[in-house]
Amino acid sequence: MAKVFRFHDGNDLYDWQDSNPLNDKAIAAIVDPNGEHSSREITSIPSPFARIDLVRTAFNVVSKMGPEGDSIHHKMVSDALDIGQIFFNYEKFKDKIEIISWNPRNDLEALLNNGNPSHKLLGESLRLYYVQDADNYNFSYDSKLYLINYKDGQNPINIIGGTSPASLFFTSANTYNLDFGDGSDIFLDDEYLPLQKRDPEYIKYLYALKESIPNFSSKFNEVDEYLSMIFPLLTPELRTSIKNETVSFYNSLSDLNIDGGGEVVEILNTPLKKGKDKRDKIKESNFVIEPINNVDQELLPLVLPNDNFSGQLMYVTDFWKNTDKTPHYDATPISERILPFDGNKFPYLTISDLLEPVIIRTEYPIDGFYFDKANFNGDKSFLLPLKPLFFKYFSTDFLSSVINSERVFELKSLPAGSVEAILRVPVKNGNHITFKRIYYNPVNQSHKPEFSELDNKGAVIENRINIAITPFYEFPESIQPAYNIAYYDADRIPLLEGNVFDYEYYSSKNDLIRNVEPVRR
Amino acid sequence: MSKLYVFGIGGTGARVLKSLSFLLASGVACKSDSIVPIIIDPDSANGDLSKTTNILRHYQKIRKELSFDTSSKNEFFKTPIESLSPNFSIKVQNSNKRFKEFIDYGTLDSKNKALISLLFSEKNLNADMEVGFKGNPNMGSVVLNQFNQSDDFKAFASSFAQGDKIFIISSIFGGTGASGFPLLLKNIRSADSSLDNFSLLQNAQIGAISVLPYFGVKKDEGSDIEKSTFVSKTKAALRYYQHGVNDSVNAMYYIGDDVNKDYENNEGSTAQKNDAHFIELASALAILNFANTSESDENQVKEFGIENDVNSITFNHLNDKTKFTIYKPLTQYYLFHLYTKTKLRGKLDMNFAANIGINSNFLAEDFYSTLRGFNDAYWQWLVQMSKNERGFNPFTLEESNENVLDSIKGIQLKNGGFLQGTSNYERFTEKLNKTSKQINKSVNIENRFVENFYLATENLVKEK
Repeated sequence: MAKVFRFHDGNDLYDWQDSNPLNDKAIAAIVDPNGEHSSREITSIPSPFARIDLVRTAFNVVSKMGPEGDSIHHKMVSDALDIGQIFFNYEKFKDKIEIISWNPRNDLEALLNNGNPSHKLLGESLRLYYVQDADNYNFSYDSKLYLINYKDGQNPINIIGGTSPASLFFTSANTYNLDFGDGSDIFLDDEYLPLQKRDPEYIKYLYALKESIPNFSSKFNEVDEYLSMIFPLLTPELRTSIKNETVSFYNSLSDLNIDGGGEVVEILNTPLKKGKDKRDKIKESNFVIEPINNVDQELLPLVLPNDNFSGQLMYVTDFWKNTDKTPHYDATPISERILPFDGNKFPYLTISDLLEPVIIRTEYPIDGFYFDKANFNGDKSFLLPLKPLFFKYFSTDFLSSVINSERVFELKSLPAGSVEAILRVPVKNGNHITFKRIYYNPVNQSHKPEFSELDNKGAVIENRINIAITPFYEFPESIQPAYNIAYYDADRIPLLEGNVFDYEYYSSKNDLIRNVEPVRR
Repeated sequence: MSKLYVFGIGGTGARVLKSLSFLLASGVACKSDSIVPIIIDPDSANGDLSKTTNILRHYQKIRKELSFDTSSKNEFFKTPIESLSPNFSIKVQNSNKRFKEFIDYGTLDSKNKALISLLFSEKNLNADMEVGFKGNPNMGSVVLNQFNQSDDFKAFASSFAQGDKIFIISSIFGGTGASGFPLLLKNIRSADSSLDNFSLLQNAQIGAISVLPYFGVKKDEGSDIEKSTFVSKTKAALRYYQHGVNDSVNAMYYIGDDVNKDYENNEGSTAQKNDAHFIELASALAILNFANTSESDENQVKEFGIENDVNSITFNHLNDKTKFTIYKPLTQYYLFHLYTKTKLRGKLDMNFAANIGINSNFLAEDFYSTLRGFNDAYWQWLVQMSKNERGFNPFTLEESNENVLDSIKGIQLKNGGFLQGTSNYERFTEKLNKTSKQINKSVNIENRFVENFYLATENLVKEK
């Protein structure tokens, strides 16, 4: 039997004999001893535009191997899809990235003619391959490349990827630790995400782009194959939507401009588009607060868990990851907040928006006939550590009600005089988010209470104070009620000397009552 | 006068040129009137490169004394090897810098800097290129692109004439060869109109061999060269070749071997001296195949096969055509070497010495010592190929064995014996004596000497 010195199977031949060109099939038949699962970057494309070639090839290989995998090809495809998604969600990430255009006509000329011999050599090489490989990669002097610079990266310039005339998008071979992504997926990280598991809007957009770029299947053959492989894996609704309305969907989106200016980002002269504001989508999140009060507010905030969460609730584009924890405290005004693990701007509540950092213990138990003691029984009581915001959404009565068989608010006694507050906040579909905060009892009364909203660490303080309200009338609706509030301060220990007390009064509808004249006696 | 310009790129290119020199020295037929080797390697300290340059120089020195008119039957060193430049090379400069310095990355304008930052990784940018491109031919495609400025390349263009051909040797899995090949090809096919003969170059017959992996390297955590990536790199580059190369080449030769040995892991420079290998010999045969094949308009693809899949190849494992091409020349030269190395000094009293006029003075002369040096390198080449994997092992390779005519594996040369006359070296000497009488006395002593050995060894090999 003949031995032919090659890596693929083929006909026997002898000496130097005519054979067939090494085409895709022959190359695919070459067995890689590592499998195709080598995780090391492939570097042997003899062209300055090697990355463009490699990413295109990766789409080809993944189309044959299947969408899921941990090979270097799966990484490159996942990363390229990430870059596309960053372009698509430019509005969301514009604080972190900038788009730079590279014009082969002007910028290549600049390189060749700036008088620097090193740049000239570089420019000649780029030109040689740009021109000679034009057919292969759809290079043209009439279409630009658009590059994404990650502004928070560790170098002065951190180009994480760009548009590719051969595979829509491509990435650099560097590794970046980005702090943003979509849903629970961080972009360009070590978890490779196939297209079907991404934001349906983005998926639809890529299929729309395919319909909008002329001769897509010949110019972007590898990506086209990939999209064909993914299509059956999409949900029936998405498939129907893609079949029926890709072009109208593409046209309904606005063009992506560089920094809001006039230059439209394009691939082979077809404009890229910006994804729609996600607010409508987020409004449907399972984490939207479910208030008792009538709240006249366009965007109801999400209530997000600050601890391990066992339920399976839809967050923005994906289910909430059980181990994800939101911060206990966010200094940004609620309306300006950025959703954690997502990046969209949308209001959400932390535990510290609802619970006070310090809980006041009374010297004697409160009379439970008149006041809610939050199920706490002992020889002392606590004032409920709720912030006013809670009552924007919920009534005082609601506090003692039951949600999913548990009290909405309760205080639990812990050893050494500490106490735990548990607040269950209702969200969509009868679910609730549980916030817990432990208020630690100081070693003795002369210690200043130590607390941190950032670390979710509360403190107990005992005050010898008293409040009285008169009269005990039930005023009819027609009468503007007037109450006398008396506050008695009997604290005498040095730590509490000079304490300043401030009072705010709210109606049962949580409206602040102004113009209350205090009288001191 | 047709010439074949043979570009040897990188370490593999240099090693194949070395094999070609030995094949030509032994008299393997070449239809080109001369061979012009041109080495392209920025790693000028590369051990393989300096070895090859020495061998080419010795070849030229020996060839210079020989003449090949109609009266001469000698085929040893028949094909002239010419040089465009003293080192047989196109100089590639400024390669002792880091890549980012080479392209002056720091002063690029912001847009071009952005593009380069995307096309080349930080590792690329910070790579020191003194030792080649360590498997990053994307860098090579920029650094090696100095042809337009190169006087050597201009000289090549000026000397290129109608009917001349070009052959390019490169490995696909390394750095220098893999990038140099498409780059050189593109530069020739789009030869600048400022070059002499640019149109001839653009339309020249070009053959090329792309050597796929045939050796491994030992694992070294500190090295950027890793064997396990050879195949994936090869596949990636082959995919590029499909569109970026194949259509521009008249005849594309591919070869590689999955049976292989791990070499020491050297990222180039003086330490990179890999042992000779059968794949390099077969690659050199590809050059001759191209030289000896008439022009074609089609884009041919050729691969190489032998009869049997064995780990240690002898002449009988080769296909008849290959065997016909190399058996006789390599064996003749093998016998030539053994006689000069082990016997000649003690046989100067024999008839042949008197007939062709050689004595101890001749052995002391420059020509003879150069030849002996060249022949020792030939022997070394055979020894290395025999020990490599897969091995090419057609000879017993025992210098001190007197049974020289039994030393071709699987092939018995006629060797006297009972009632058949003398055996081994006696027989060899007898052939020298006999053939020495046929030699034209008017040619110089070097011609007489080489011709005598050519004829005698031919007699020994032909006799059945």
